[in-house]
Amino acid sequence: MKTKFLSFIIYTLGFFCGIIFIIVNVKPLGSVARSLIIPRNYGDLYYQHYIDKYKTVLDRKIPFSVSELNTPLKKAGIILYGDSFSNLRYFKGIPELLIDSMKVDLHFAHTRRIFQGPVFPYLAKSDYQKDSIPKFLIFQSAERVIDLRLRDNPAKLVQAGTPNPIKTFLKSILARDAKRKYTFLLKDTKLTRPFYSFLMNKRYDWFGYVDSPKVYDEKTGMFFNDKSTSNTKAGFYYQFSDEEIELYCNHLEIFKNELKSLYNLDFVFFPVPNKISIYSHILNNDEYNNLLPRLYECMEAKSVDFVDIYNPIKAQKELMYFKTDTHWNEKGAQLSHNLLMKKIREIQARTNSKN
Amino acid sequence: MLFNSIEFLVFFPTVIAVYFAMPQRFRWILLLIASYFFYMSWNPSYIVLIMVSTVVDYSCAIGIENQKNKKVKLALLYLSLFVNLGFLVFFKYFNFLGDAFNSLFEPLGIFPQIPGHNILLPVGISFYTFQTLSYTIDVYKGKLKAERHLGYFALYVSFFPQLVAGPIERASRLLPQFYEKFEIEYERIKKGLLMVLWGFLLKLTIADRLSEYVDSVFNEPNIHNGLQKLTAAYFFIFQVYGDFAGYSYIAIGIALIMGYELMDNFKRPYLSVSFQEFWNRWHISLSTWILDYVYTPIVLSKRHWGIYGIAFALLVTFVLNGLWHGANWNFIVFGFILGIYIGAEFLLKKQRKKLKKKIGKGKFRFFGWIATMCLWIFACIFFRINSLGEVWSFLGGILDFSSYSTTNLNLFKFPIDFVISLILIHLIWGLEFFQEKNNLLGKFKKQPSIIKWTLVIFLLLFVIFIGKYNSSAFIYFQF
Repeated sequence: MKTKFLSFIIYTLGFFCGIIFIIVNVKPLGSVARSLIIPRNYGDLYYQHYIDKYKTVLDRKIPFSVSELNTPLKKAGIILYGDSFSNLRYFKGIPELLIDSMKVDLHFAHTRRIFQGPVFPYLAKSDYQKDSIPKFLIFQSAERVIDLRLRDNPAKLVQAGTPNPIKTFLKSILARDAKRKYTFLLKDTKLTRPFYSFLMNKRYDWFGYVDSPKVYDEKTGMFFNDKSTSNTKAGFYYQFSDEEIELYCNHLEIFKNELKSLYNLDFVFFPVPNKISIYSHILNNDEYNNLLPRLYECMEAKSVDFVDIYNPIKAQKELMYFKTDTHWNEKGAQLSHNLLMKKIREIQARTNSKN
Repeated sequence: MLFNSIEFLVFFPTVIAVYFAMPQRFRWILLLIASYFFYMSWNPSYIVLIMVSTVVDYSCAIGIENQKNKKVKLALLYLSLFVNLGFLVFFKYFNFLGDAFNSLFEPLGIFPQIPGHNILLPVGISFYTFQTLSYTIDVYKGKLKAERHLGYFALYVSFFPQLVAGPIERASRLLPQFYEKFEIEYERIKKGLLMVLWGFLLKLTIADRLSEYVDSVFNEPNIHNGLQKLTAAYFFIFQVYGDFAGYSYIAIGIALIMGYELMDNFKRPYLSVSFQEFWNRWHISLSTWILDYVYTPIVLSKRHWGIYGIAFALLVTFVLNGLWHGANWNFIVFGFILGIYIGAEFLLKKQRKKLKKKIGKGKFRFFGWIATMCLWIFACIFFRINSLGEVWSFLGGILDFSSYSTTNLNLFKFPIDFVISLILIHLIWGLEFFQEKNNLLGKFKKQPSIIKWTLVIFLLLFVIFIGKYNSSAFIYFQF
């Protein structure tokens, strides 16, 4: 009797785990995995701990990249290449604000989408042609991914080699982000989220545990990524060397020159500070690596157009970022947009005066 | 793939269900694929090393068995040793030996500059290398028949429960089990699951909790006071025990669920009253491996030295034991200290007997236990310290009683963890003591089912609610 019951448990559990194993690890079944996941409507850092007390309801609309407002590349009057800071639509975001201010069609390319790739291959693949009228290409990048975006020489990325057919086949079959999908399935399906959330809330109520590698400030209720997860180049605390800053700066200069000569595009670099870079004082943290101010200095020397958001946002008394999300709030986005517009007008005035 | 990861929680039930549903003759294929997948989830390319080791040892062992010419047999043994130890030396010790060689000539004004490499150390290389080495040596000595089935042998090298952190199994124990057919058996699977639960308890509630404190002190020793250092050193011996014994229990448990019996790796080491006893209880699979393949041959070759030959063998053995743990001077000193402890125990055997008679068995055992634990804490500082250069300031800090302050003694992110840690480590210690004295587990088994199940569910909930979920790797993975 006991053995029969145990056999039933083993085979049933094995069956369900097997299905999960397959849908997570076989890439073409990725949509099945995604369909099981219920939406995440609270701040992204909330999903590191699931504690009800720290929920911030964010009314997420369709991301700009897939909205009807996103104009095809060839028809667009302005190109915005960016990440979630531009694509999250909790409110009127940078792309929409730019459309309103400049009264032009805008094409937004999301840097996270693998098929879009880095800027030059993306333009080449899309058969983008040089226009006689100069246009703007705004390159928005979160500070935490600057290394990822700028470590390679952008011009060299134009010529991609012939892909290895075996690698291409394996890539098309095997999912690469199994761990992430498992995490989603454990925490964010209709069946599992209530259990997981219950467990996390009880651990918090009984022992005070905030179960994530992130840190939070009890006084303000603000969450941040902490040192243990972020002491990498993609993190918040990495101490960049002068050589690294110089390398990024050189690559930005290549961006500027090559985009102008190949496509007649005016390049504007629009780096968005990390939340921790602005509010490190809340955690009594004085270890900010000063990446942006150092990069600004270097870009100025090389005449690369950029938008300094760090200093104006740092000077604000009002909160410019969400408390339980890594992104800026509406005020932060509005301020950044104003600064970006100021830079664009400055460049336009400079170009006009030359002509 | 870590045992304490979501991937494994999905991977293992899938493997188990398919395993029991399969005919016995095909199970090795499933287990081999599962083992390779398990290893490749960490770094796919390093599976080649395991495959090469497998093919070389398989071929060499058959060659050794078939050959009558002793010289050829020896050559085949050397080939196997060369390949296995070659991988180990190249990946694990090359940089260390290069640095040592470079610095050896520096005082003479010669700078040979042997270049190092930045190649990642293959996880578990020390474990599977020792496992394959013992196989070839045993075949050479005629203690073991060479395995003719390449699939079973490949599984012996890569069996996923013990692939990356042991126990280091012997072919004579494990290989025959692959030929057996195991069915779903309630009692065996229950025992296996309980071992897994106990392993998770040690890993998630003790080791991963203590690691926060230990890491914060050992990673920045200069900013911590003497009491914090002492507390970290004390916590570390439980962290390393919880981590490694926890891994071993999980490994043994999951193998047992499938039907395979792996050797015990820990037998309540923190109740030892001497270091000799300690090494019969701590990392048993490594201790017995070293005893059989290093210590005994040295003792035999140095038997004309008498008692000093044995002391010498102990010292060499333990230095090698230390070096096995890592290519760093602190591990060598760690091994050397252990060798001194055991060597001294051996040389002072008569005096210890006299003392035992003088003060009585009970007191002798009690003081022996205190001394063993204190000396183990001391040795473990060398094990955990990031570099040998830091050790003196660390020890100096512990001895600087004027720096002792209870302010900021609790370095945990969540203050309650300090109390939980203290309760848990002493509770486990106490449970082990009563298990040793009164066979607690035996008494538990005699209890009515309702009590047993209540306790098991309590333990499970305890792990779920108190455990740490940061999926940190097991310490012994790095070896």
